[in-house]
Amino acid sequence: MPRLLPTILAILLVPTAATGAESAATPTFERDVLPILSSHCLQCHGGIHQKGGLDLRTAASALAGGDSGKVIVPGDPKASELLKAVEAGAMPKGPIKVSAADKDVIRRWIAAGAKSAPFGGELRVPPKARTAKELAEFIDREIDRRLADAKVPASPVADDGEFQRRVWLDVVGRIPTRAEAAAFLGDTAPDKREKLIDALLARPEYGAYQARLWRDRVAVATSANADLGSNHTAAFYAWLTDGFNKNRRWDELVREMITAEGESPPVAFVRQCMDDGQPRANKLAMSVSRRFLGVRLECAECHNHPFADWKQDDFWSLAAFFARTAKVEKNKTETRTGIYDSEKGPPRTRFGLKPLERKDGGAVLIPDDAGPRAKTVVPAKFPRGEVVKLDDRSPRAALAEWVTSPKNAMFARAAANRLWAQAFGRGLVNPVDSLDPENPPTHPELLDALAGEFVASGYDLKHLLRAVLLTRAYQRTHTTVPGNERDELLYSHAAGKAVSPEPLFESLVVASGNTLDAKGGGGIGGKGPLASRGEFLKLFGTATADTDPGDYTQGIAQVLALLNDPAVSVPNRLVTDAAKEGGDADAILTRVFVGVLSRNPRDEELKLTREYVSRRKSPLDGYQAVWWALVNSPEFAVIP
Amino acid sequence: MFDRPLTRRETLRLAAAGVSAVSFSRWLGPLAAHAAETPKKKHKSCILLWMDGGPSQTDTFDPKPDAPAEFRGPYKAVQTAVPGLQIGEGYTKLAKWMDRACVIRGMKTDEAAEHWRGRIYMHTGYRPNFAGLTYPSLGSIVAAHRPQDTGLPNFVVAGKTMQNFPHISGAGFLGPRHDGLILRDLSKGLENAQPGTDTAEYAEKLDLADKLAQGFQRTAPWPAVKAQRTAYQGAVELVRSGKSQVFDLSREPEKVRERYGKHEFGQGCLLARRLVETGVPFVEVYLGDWDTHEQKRSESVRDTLLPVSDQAMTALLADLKDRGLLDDTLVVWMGEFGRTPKTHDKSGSRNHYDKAWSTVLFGGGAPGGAVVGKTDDKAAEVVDRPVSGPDFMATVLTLLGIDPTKDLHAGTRPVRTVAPGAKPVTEIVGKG
Repeated sequence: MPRLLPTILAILLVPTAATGAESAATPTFERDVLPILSSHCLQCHGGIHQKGGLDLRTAASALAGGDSGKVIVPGDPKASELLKAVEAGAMPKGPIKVSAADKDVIRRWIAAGAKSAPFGGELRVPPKARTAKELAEFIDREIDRRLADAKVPASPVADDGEFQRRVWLDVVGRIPTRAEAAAFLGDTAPDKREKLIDALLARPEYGAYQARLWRDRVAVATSANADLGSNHTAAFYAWLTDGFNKNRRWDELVREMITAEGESPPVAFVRQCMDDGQPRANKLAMSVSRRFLGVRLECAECHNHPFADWKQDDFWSLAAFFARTAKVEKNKTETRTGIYDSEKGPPRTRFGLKPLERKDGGAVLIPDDAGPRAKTVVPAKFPRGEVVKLDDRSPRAALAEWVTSPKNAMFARAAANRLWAQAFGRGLVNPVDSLDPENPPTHPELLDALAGEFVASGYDLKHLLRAVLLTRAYQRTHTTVPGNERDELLYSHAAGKAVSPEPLFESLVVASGNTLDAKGGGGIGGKGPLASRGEFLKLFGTATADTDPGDYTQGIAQVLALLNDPAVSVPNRLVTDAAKEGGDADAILTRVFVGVLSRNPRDEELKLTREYVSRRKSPLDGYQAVWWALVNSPEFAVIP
Repeated sequence: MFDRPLTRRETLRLAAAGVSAVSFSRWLGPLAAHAAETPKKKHKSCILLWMDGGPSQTDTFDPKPDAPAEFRGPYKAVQTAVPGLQIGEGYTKLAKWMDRACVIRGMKTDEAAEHWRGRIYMHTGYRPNFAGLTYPSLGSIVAAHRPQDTGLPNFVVAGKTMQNFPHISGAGFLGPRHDGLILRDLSKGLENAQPGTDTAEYAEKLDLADKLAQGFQRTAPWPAVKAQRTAYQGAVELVRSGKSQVFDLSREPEKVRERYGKHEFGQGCLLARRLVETGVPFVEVYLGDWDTHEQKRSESVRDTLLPVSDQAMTALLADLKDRGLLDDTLVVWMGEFGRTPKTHDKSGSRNHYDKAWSTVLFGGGAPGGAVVGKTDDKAAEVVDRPVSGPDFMATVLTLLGIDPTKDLHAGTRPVRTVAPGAKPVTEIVGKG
């Protein structure tokens, strides 16, 4: 039992209370204290209310204190009013008090000098990109260093079955076919994982799946009245699929979305932000900031951001870049049709939605119904950047250039973080659209290194993804070892992600032994929800682009279809073929397991299913029942 | 091993203990035979008629016939069964039922900027994400307080428009087992609720599936896995009980279906009645889109939403009364907020407004023919008896026999059922 030794060592070395929480490092405001304040205090002492003159959103404002003086005395917890109020239960006034563990964090932070380590400064871009392997090694060193600091042991590498199910679903959005899965399981080459990663990244399905993720974020109609037709969505999807498959630079693709004109495919990005026939500057500002900069600036649309240091002016200064974006139609004076920036800007819409009122040099007036700063004139200004005079520049081109500039660290960080979240189910900053200094990353150095690498590589998404997939961290099993059961932040073991609706559909088709056709046709069978992609998504389309990757979103109605639709009980092609290929029951059952779960059955699973089949009058129905049980298993519903 | 049917709780307890569904074949049959029986009602039920988008108070339950035209809007006021109580003419049929209604005219809340914030606020009684938690919606709170003994889910949501915001039918920190069952296409009933094979065969398949699931459940104790298992158990339970026929509206006489109106909301109300009759404690029926910023949608309110809801609610109240269920069934009419007192076009378009608006309670122990609170002559300010979102939530829960001041548990963290400071409206629930 060579495996046992490290386990025993781990038990001996790890203190009994070891968890994912870090105890070794000096607590910092941003990493340790702010999450607590954010849950309990910022409602009253944040961006909207500053009761007692106290603003706890940043270390500086917290240390500055409130109307009655300082509330934190660095190095002296006992003299710090903030801690006293929390310890006495006087604060927060609400029903949910700060837990004992969190009080201790605050106490230790003050005792250690109330240190701050703000995140979000300049990015260091290496002169030359590393190879994917070098980058993977760097990532593993960072992850392992933090695990060692926290004395949390790492789980071993996942076996081939677990690994291949994960990597197929993460990269191309479906499970491998039985033949593909069996070939990998049988391959004895030591570098077969690397080869599989490369092969998956080279498949056209890579582009199609990655494009689908972005299509669902920025190019599907979000409300019944959006001026975004399914033709626009389809054109966008084809354009982006091609872009990803050609591995075009991410900065270039984003510039094309932000500046899209006429009826070009990326214009769906602008059209998603239309209302009542015209593009809306505020919606465009929201979309750009959330999707490409990783910040929810829209919380500052009507008031200063409650939890982050964003002001209303920041939001409208960004919206100013879209003040001229309009949908125009050819007539006596207008020569074009479609989405363009026009000197006139968008008209007041049919039902009375007003365009932003424009002032000199690209400045705009904050609309009169938009909260405390209404009717203020604000200049066109990049978020946390400079003011721009727009007199002789195309506003959208200026914005696109700034957003995707190597100097804009937010852009590279947001992209790197999203990619990380796609692989690990959780961003280094989570949620992925809250990259504010107030919500620091779990691994700041790592995120910055990934973002720097991303810039150095020429915004090469495949490069970054390849490196992430090559890491030991990504390839660990989900099964915990003693001492890392409670770790959710340090990547000591794989965390499960739910299989979202379209990958679930494609996986079911593949698991049935059917072929996915390129046009999205084909299905599992029957005449109901399993008949085609369209029918399936009508019932199973429960997740949205912003659903947390860990959330299983299906309910009773969906499970009923997987349990009882006629298509799941008639022997399907996978089962029929598995039986036809001959051999004993174990051989046939193994084929079914590999076809559905991409792994070989364990002994007890073989025994159970063998006995089950032996009791059936028709063995074929028995194999189909095993298939049915596996498709309805929790393992099939998640990416382990 | 067992010679009587297992209750759901026993099954779950066994499952939790690692014992998989014991000899399904022996209890699937007997239970299915009991399916037709209606259990005796022990608890009050609630039907939430959710008017999504935020209907205008002026155009519905708080008309201002004497206000200037731009405030009055396009609708006349009509007299109701209650002397002195007037409502908008769009609810002429419902006017005859106002002796069973309690109108709250002093709704004063503070989430009007965004629909999703308003929806969450009025469904949970908490501001979205307050203190970092996801709060359970009203239906889930009620579901969690009722025994799960009907063989049906405790919380059912009807209407395909729900698809875009499942967050308001979610159980939040109470866990997915109290999520609402969302029924997207009422015309199809609950599909696939019959086993695909004969019952003995089916029971053995389920047994196999349960055993195969166990290993992974142990190594992957993730929320997603628990949620999948919960949905799976719920589905199996429905198949087992054979009670899914309650979802099949074609079992109702055509005349009855027409009385409710053959549109989604009407049929949703009919389904709600059928479910409540069977003992389901909470049903939400969804009707949108009341978001009348502009003419197109204002006209749709006039031509569709008002007549449709007038007809369906009238039929629902009549059926509940005829079956002796109205006293034990609280019917709630509400949206996420009201609309601005002043219209901005002739069709009566109005924007979001939360400073003064109305909700209505029918039956369920709420006083009939009552009006609580009062707005000024333009329905712009509450001049008497303001009611906040949490107050309203506390009122509804109290009527349903659930103590709003009790703690629920988010993991180990105790959290008040309704935000502290919330007071049930004593004019409605009594002094307690």
